[in-house]
Amino acid sequence: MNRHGDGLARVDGRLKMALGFSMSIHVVLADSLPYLGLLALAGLAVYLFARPSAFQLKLTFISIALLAWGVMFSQGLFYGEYPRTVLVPLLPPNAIMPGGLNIYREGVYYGLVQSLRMIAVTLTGYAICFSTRPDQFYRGLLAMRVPFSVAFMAVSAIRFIPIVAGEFATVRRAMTMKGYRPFRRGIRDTLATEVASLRPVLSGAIRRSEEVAISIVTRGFAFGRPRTTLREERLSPAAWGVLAGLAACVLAVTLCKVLFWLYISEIYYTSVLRGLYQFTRTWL
Amino acid sequence: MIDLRQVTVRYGTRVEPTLSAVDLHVAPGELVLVSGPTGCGKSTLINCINGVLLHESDARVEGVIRVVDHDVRTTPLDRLCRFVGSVFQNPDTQLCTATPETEVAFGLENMAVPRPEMGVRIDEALALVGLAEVRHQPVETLSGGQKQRLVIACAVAMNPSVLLLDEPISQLDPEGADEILATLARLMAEYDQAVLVVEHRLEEVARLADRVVVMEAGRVRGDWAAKQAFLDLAPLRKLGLSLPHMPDLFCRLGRRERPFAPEEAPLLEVRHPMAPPSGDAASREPVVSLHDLRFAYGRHMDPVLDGVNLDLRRGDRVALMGGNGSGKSTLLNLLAGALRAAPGTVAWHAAPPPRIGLMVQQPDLMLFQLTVLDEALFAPRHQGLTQEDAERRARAALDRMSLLQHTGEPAFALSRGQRLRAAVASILSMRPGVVLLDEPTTGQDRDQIERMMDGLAAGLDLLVFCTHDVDTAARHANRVVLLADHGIIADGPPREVLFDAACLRAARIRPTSAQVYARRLGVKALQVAELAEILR
Repeated sequence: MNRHGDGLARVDGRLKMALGFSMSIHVVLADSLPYLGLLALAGLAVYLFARPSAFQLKLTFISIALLAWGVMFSQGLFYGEYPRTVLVPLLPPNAIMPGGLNIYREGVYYGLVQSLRMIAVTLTGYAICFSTRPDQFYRGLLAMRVPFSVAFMAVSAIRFIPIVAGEFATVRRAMTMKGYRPFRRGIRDTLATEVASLRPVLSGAIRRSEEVAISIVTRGFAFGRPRTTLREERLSPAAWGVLAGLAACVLAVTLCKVLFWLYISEIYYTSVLRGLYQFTRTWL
Repeated sequence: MIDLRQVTVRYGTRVEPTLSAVDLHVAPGELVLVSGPTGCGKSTLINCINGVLLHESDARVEGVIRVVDHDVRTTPLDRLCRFVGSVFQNPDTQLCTATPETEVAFGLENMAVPRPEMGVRIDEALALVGLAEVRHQPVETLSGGQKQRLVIACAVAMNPSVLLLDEPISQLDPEGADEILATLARLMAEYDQAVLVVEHRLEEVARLADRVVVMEAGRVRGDWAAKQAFLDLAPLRKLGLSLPHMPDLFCRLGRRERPFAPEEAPLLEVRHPMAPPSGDAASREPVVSLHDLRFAYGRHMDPVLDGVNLDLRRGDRVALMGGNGSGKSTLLNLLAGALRAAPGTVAWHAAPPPRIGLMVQQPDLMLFQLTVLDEALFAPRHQGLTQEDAERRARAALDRMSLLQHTGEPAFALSRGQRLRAAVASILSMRPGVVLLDEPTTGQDRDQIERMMDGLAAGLDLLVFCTHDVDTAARHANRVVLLADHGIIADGPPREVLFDAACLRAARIRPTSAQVYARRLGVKALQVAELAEILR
């Protein structure tokens, strides 16, 4: 979580969830490079609004670079459609395989399109994660009418992730201090030790969840019982406006794509929509 | 308020009962302290009364359990919580929302308390525990003591007639423990609740209690009015309980009176001189030297340690003491090499440096093998020893920790104190020259601490342990290093350092009753045994 009360951290949890949801629909609908590029830029803007720390920036950069490089390289290498143009010849024909091994320009382009799709949602997802406290997420879920018990369990699980990660690091440190070095005593011993390293973390997680469960049942928590809330969660008019804008964008793009699909499938066509068909083909 | 008659509890398929024919009655406005060695059934008793055992477990419970005229067996848990509040050991697993305000609201929301009434109850509860000022602060920024006070506020807000506290101060430093005890005192003064506190730290809690109940092996061995509880200390001593200092001292001296507070105790005549401290520390050869050590957890973070200079010598048994966040664990991890210090700031004098055994703060995280023997075998095996040699070493280490009879058992099936000793055995089997222990006393009873420290008494060049416990430092250290304000504020023999009132205050360490009394007598005795020796 970043600086509480700054940037995206101030935005209502429901609005952030709606943003993530609409972004995921847009990237599924999008086909054109400009539209995907625009979505990636929008994701970047949202990400920067979350004011990531230097560590988070580094983490994001590395994960996105790996993601984009991996998708473009694999698509370029294994692109099977025609026509295709060799961009980088890796192995000449008949060296190992009849057609040789090449990186194709169309494959790289296709990989770029696919990675833009992933970059847009990844940036938005990171932005939401970095800027949303578990309780904000919890209140958002409750306000979206998610059952209390489900929302509570989901948020409790999120809360304990850093603790579990810390415990795992401690177990590794203890193992190293006791002289353990992976592979020094063979693969079998390494595998057994690696599996064993999970044992204290898992038993700690079980013990902790038991303690949490006992604590909350002694405070009256019960599935499906009516309960009151300390505060009513109300969206501000501005937030309603943003929500309406997000919904309108999703609906508009969905409508354009459906009409365009009906047209190219020769199910429905009207000349009145020729501009819309053109717009969809070029930009969406 | 609480009425238990002939309560017997058996878990799962176990034949031996965890609680056996327990009778207990607690009246309104009464604070009853329940104590006993680890595994005696104290927590089971709490979970009997709050209904968890009957409604949320497969334990077989016999006998009558009534709370506020309700039969716990037939009253649903969500109704029981309206008149029974529970506070457990670890505040971190009891807090489930973001701020103190929403945390207190959680129980009230579950009880469907109307919103306006909820606000009033939250205000009252937070004011009672002194957290009104921080009601909107993120829970994770609170100290351990504040978190546990918040848990008490959560229970109190539900207006229970009975409040159950299961080792509420066992995980806290002295400062946090004092906060909880002050809160309990305020609670007893303002409300008419029946309060049952399970705790092995008798010294701190007994002075608040109206009655003291002692348990052993699932049975109630004694139930006394607080003033009578410490007249005969033999049964408590036999159970390995940590005795309150002043009654212990006066009992050892064969006197009839049992003062509890050192300020109220009569001043006795010092008849014998104190034994001089043994050995000249400065003449021993240094094992490791810290030169201008500085460490921060991030480039832009404030340093935890800054300009630390320290020589640790052969034969030193060092107690690192200081408040939470003073850098004790950091220093230990830097010595162990688990954190990287700037080159030249941590210099080991031997080449190659001695083997270091580090016990982390949660010993359970050091136990990952299937049996206790495998735990002790892990390190020697990874040192490349033959199976025979490794086993010899492992058994020797387990013997030092009195665990030889548990070699075939899974470590997780052991008691908390045994798990602690199993973790220590797993590092002793490395034959380390240096052992570093991070808070080994937290949550442990006195008997377990003594058994562990006795096992570490010989065969080490250097022992360094972090602790908040003055008793442990006084008994087992020949040198105390106090940390505060990013550095060392005092370093010397326990008798010198632990009688420096200004340093103790700065390091947020509370002197024991024995120390306070010794100061009144004008002597520097740290332990009850030392005091008894000079006063006898």
